[in-house]
Amino acid sequence: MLDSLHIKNFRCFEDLTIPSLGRVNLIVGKNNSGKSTLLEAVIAFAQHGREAALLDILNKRNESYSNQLKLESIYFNGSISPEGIFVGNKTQTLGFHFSEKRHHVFDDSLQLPDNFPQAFQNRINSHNYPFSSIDTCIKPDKDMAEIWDDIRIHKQDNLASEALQLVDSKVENVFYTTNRITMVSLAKERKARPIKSMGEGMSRLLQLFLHAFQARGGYLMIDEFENGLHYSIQEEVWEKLFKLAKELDIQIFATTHSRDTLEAFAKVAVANKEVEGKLITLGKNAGKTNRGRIISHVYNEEELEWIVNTRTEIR
Amino acid sequence: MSAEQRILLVEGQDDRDFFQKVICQLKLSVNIEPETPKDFCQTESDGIDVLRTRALPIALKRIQEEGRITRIAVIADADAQEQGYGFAKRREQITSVLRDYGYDIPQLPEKIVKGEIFTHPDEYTPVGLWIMPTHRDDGMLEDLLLGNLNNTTQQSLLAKADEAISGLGELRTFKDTHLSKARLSTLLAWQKKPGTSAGKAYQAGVFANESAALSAFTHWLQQVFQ
Repeated sequence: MLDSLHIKNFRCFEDLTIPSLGRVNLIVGKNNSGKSTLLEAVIAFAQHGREAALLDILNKRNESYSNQLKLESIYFNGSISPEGIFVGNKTQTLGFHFSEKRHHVFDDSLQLPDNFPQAFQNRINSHNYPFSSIDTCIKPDKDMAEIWDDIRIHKQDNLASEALQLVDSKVENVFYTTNRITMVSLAKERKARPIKSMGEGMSRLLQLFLHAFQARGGYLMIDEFENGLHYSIQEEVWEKLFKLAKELDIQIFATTHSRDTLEAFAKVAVANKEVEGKLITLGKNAGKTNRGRIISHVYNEEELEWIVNTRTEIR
Repeated sequence: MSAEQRILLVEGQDDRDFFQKVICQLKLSVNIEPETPKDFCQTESDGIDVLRTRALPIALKRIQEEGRITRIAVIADADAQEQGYGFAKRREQITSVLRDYGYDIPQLPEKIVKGEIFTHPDEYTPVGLWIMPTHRDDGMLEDLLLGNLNNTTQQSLLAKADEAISGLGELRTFKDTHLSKARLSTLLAWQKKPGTSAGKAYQAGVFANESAALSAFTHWLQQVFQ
């Protein structure tokens, strides 16, 4: 788990430090303040900043219009900086450094002896940290089916049906047909139905919880949490996510524009004493020094409760 | 410039109501914070300590992010030295928070008549501060209002209110530090519309809005928000 975040020269972030993180983090900020990019930074971190991972981020944003210019766009301002990119924690004991000349992975959990050759250190931690990311659109059934297989293998089938019960208490079971269509069976109905016939909320919820399982032991990114979720169920969704975050040892990063989401998050974060929730704001610096640079502020649960309670505008 | 970026921080609900009317009268476009909490978890959100330890620090963080707060002022009561406060102490309490966020806090000038506006070397939004009643004396908002009644009728009414209060004897349950609150409430209880609020009384001309003390305050408010 990341206890803090330091991002340097990565896309819109010139030099950003988030001094503390919780297990569940909700990120708010105006348009173009870097919310989705923050999620991408964690995705890059989880893959140790490998070139392929960085290119994948650009591909997903449809930004790799020319092979030659490809990697440039991953740097701040779109130009390769000799200093390179860093994403990790603020003490730089965890994270990666990426530049044209050097790629280095920091991971203090390895505890290698001091005299261990540097070249080997860099290669040792070759496995990605587990991670999963949910973007603003719903993924195709076949992608979800792959995660579903994993869930079945681990005998966690109830995770999906419990999640869908938040929308419809009659949900009994979720399964996939041989041609990878998500089906839901409801109590007192003779035939199961395709999930797509049941409204966007169902698919969104299933996606959330399947990905949470996929992220076990690592990082879960949720872009625009509120998508497809009616405000009345958001609190229960957060409750389940907070619980899962602990059970499955996941650190969650979610973005939102919605006050309903913020309020539901605050309520659950304050009530849940075991899992720490934090609110992170991103915005452009209004001061003279480094004007326009993206900066952040972190609000703990106490502050969060007060902000929501008094309807202080923070988004 | 949208209204939510212009923020006036006050101590509580009564102050909100009063300053809302003043702001309307002055035709200023300002949001007053903190809002009275809806029933969330019954967090305390009233009073000077909440203003100092929650509302102000959070506002000072918001100021650092572009376009969130473009004008801001803080109004608090000095309260009395017997309570351990008073003008100088209250000013120090609030300015120490501003200092923590890098604002320039000059030595207290010998004669301040128009409140203060503190600037930041990094050009963050300046923060206006007015400590009631006069940004010089100890006391509270009620003292500013009681000291500036509009006409002799109101003054006679206040004299009657004072008589009534001093005749309370053992029936008097409020603390000495709340005497001004009791005097103003009694005065307002006997207006044309009994029990009118201080804000409505301000609009109805119960107070001498053009007096030196009240206009110094409204002038400061305009300076911050215009």
